[in-house]
Amino acid sequence: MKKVFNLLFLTLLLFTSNSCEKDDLCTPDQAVTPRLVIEFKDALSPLENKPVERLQVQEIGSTEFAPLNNEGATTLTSVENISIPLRTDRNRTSYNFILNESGVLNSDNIDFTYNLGEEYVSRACGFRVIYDGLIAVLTPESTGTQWVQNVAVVEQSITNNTDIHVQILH
Amino acid sequence: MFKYYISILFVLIGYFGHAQGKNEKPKDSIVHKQSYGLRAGIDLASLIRTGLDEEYNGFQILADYRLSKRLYIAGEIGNESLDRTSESVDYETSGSFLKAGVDYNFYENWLDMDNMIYGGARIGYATMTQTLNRYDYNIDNNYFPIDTNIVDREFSGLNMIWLEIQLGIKVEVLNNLFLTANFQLKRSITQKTPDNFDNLFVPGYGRTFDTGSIGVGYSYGIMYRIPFFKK
Repeated sequence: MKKVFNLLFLTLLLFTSNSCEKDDLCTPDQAVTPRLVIEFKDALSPLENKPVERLQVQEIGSTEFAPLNNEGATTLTSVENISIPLRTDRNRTSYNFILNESGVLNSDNIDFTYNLGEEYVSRACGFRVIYDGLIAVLTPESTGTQWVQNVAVVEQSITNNTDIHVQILH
Repeated sequence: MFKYYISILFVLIGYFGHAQGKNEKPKDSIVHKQSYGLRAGIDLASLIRTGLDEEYNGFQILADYRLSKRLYIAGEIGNESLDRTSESVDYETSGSFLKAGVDYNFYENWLDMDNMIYGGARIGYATMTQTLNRYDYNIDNNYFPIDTNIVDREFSGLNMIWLEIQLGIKVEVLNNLFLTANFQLKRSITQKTPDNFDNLFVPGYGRTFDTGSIGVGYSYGIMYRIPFFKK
């Protein structure tokens, strides 16, 4: 009986050290802060998709280009839709959409403003941000030609990466 | 699972009581009488963890009272706090808990031995306060600088009710002095969770799991029996 007890006691002591469990890992299938999903449409017939020849997106003031898809590509050619991150520390993100048409760069600026909300995900992933009340404003240029004709918000609340939130007509 | 366990326990108790009534034969002149009384003690597991784990503080009192040869009323009372720093969330939980139920001794003692290999059933209740101290956002890219949020968000009035089964032993090492150890398997029945957050640790229950309502635990300690009578 005492031997049994000693054995059990030792086993219990071993259990004192906490081990890392699967539950403690933030896996990609858990909810993540959604990105802004943008679709490119034809300005002349807005129901038609119109791919952009070669596109890069850059936040104003940043030296780096934003990731345009889940793989983290920063330059995409003949692209019909992109998903870009929005700032989680302020309610405004201002992006330059840089079109590269046969080597000629044309940069147009769009201002995105929104309300920030947060949602608990799990102990391993922490929280995520969700956005609401999205407004997109195309900054008019006094000189030069703008490749973007119009911007339309089709979904004001950004809660996932599957909805399309904004259409850019060009 | 628990339903079956409790049903089986009751069937066993019923059977045992029945059997006792029928076997009233003249007994041997030598009868080894069993001590009855209140047994109380402290949980060394939480004391040792308090010493080893900087993030943890805990104290627990164990008690049981013998009803019949094999059946005991048993319970635990205590408080625990955990101040946990992890990768995405830092939180602090503290509160008190109470567990009440029965222990059933499966061990056939020889002569005047008084040891237990027991199965126990408990209902547990904990009340606690949880404070969220820091958290990160789950973001799939690093284009923008990742900012961590330092806050002091306190959620009080949280609670949980759970069912627990225990498998353990109680061994008499000196007269009326016992060493005890057990494993615990728990299942949360109902809980009050903070708004837009979760109960990550529950006193008496232990850590929770995102993937289910099952909890595990253990205890080992020392108990002393105040003998009331022998029969």
